[in-house]
Amino acid sequence: METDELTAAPVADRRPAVRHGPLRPSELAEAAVLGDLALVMEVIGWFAPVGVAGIFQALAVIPFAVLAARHRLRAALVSAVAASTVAALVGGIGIMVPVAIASGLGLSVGIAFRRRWSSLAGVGFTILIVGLPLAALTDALDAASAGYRKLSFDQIKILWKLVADVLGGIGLNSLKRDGNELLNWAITHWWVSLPIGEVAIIALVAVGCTRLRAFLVEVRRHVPMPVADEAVERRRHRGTGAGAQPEAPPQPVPVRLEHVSYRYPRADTDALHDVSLTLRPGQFLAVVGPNGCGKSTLVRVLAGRLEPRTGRVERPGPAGLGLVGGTAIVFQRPESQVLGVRVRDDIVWGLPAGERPDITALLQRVGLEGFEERETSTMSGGELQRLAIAAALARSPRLLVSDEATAMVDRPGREGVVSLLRALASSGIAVIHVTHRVEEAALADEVLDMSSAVEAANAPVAPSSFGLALSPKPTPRFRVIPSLPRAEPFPRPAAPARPATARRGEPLVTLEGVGYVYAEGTPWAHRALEGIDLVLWRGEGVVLTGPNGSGKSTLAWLLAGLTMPTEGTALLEGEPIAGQPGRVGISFQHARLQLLRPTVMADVRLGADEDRARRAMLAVGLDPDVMGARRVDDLSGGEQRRVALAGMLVRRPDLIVLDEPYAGLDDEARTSLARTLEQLRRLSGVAVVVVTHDLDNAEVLGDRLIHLDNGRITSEDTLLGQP
Amino acid sequence: MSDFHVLRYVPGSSVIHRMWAGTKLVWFALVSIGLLLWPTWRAVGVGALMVLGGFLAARLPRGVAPRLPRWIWLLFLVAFAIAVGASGKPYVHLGHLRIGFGGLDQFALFWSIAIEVLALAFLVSWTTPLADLAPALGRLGWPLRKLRLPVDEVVGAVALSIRCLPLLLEEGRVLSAARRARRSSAKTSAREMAQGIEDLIWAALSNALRRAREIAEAIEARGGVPTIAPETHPFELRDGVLVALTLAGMTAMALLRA
Repeated sequence: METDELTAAPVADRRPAVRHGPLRPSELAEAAVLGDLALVMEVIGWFAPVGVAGIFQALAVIPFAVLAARHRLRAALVSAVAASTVAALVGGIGIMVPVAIASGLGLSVGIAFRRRWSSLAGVGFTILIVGLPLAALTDALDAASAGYRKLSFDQIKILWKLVADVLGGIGLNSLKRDGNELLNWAITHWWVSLPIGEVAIIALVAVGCTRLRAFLVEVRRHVPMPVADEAVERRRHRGTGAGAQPEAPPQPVPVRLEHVSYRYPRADTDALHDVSLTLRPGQFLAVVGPNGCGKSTLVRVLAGRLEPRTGRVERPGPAGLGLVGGTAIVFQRPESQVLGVRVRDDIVWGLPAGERPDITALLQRVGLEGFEERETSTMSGGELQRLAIAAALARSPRLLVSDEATAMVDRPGREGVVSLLRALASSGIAVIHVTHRVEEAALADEVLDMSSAVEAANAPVAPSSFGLALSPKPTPRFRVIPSLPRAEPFPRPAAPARPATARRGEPLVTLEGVGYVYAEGTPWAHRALEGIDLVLWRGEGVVLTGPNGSGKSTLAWLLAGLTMPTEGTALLEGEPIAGQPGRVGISFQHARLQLLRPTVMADVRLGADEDRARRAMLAVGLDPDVMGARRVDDLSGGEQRRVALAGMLVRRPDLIVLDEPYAGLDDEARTSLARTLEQLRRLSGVAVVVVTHDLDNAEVLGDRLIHLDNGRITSEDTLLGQP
Repeated sequence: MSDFHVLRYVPGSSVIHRMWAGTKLVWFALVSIGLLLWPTWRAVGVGALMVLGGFLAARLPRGVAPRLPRWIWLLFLVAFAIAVGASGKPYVHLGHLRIGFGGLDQFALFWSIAIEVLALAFLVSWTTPLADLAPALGRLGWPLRKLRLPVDEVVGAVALSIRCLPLLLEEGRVLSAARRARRSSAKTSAREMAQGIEDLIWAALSNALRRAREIAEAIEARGGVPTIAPETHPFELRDGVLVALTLAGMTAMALLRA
């Protein structure tokens, strides 16, 4: 399943599962994130050129509509109020009012959709809950403040006078007279004219918003409702302690699984097939296996979030996920599991009011001394994972589960996390570390190898992030295309693919004295790159590596022409790279952001004909007949990266830059991707720059290995022809 | 888009920095309301005194000032021209040209108020650690809590929104870069443009919902939605002084409106 498996949750009903009571985790999370999305659109609209600004501001309606269509009113209202508040903090009334109006419009559209009202009723509802209150508010404000009234009318008068002068100038004097009279009437009767005008505008907007319904149908069809967290009993730590605690204290270990299998609703095969294991306190168990073998499902069973369909789970008490003395999980994506703005706040996030952990000691234990006041948004992936472990330890868990916590972290970070897990096990906690890297199992007491489970179940089945259970994946997922010359197993072919002669003539890319400073001149300025000199040749393969925060990604953006260096020059055949879009392709770690069309073929075809699109898909190992019609949201992270790669190839770029192409991929998928890149370079002469902290198979990826540290090139090695 | 410095804290130890976040929020809210209710030059003057005083006291580095995109000045110029072209007395004669400054007055007043409110919002966010904002709101919300409104839930959502805003801004940055990298040189029709916008929304939405799902899992792994612990930042003399000054300013705005 690759990266998406971790976010997988069972798909079920599309109606809001909850009808009353406080917000559940999924509701709170969507309320916050979708409110933010609307706010971001408003902010972009603010900074965008005038014509485009209005579009973005109108788009801010959509997140609220989606939220109200998916969840109950309580979530939508909380989101509207919270987003308006944050908007006021970001930019005052000028941005709060549009966000508030957008939230009202979105809410009314979403509610009308969820309750299956007719379009007409929906428009009426919008007028009722947005138009009338807005009109009343304006009237109240105008009544309270004659100054405000005068100010707004003067603006209107000024504009009208300009129009009237034009009308008079071209001889439409009667129109000018009528207009004058109408305006004068409207101004003297402002308490009628203003509300009528506003309600009319809102009615027009509401009619426009009915077009959103088709969009909401698409969302309902393709984005499943979160239900995983609703399956768990509700536990809250009310400050008053009003008996909301579960009766039995958590006792997650020792735990014994006997022939446990699990199948997600609407899936054809088991996600977890016949697993047996025992885990005692102080034991360190590593669970290894490729993507899609059911590792994440196993984690959910152990955490008590899923009840197995067959087999038995024995433990002395409840798993107590997130409770003191219960089960704690550390997930794969570092930045998504940190919930506090400051390190200190994150550790105590969600702790019962009485608990006051020794934050300094916890941070010391995970190797983050002195991080108490750091803002979490400034920390690296490895640091964030340590922080997540510290937050888990604040609950003194008896069972600690790392659900691929090392998958997105660089090598030193990974080693640190694994040895930390080892130390925690030695101190008496039962620890499970799920990983697809066999070498990380070395420190474990026991290893559960789940690769055979794949063969047994014969298919990866855990539904991936969106809608997979609705459209099960065909297997095999990457068909090897017979017509392409199959690359030899590693290492690379004996004859160098790119003879030394290719270096004669003009270099492809020249970087001279390139430096980059983010937010230069502000208090938040920070230097990412300094004095980079680099030359790339046609058909060359270069691996750029370095620790988190070394400036790798910034360099990737510069090479792709997405940002201009703040110092020095970045040229592609003598011209600035930024001025030549299309000649350099870039693939981001989260490839979904660069897929612009809903289906694979439609996306690859952007700016090319179908024939070329098919060839590009074949070149990256995707069968156009199988994959072409698939929705990009249904693909795994690795598949999405391949689609993005095909989308670049149709434009025949001279250079392809890949940012962390391996993140979250298992060995098989990595090998296959490396082989694809190697073939591309050999067959089409495109230069490839791979930015990665993961140096396995580096020799297949390129001829040169460049180390970055602290924004500078520290060393350069030749990979080709080494003994 | 990397230059969106929204809600970013500038560390410092000035009087304003040390104040309770709630005091600054009240300050911000009251001055905004005052300017909205009594939009006169005198009120703008009173507001400007408070905002400038705040900036001087906060001792922020000069680099915090946001750099405006170039088109803003163009927009400003157009609005200025409209205001001048359509206005009345008083007139200034430049040779044969007669320029009226009557409308300019209203134009300048409108923009002064907008800029003043924005400056105050920036001042509050630059001098207040982000983590302090939501708890302060929760404490300020006690009257609403008395009415049995779910204040804590809103405060929790505000805190989570503030935490997630940088993530979404970063995704927005990547999204727009990806579009730039793939923009086609061929001319696009209006229909294609509409399609492009719909696709953009899908990508943004699909990412946001996925992000929300991961965050929901993380919340659950910490035992569910918590109640925010009541904050106990002391309300000191400096807070009292600022509140008193703000109330005095409001009174001045109201009295000087004539």
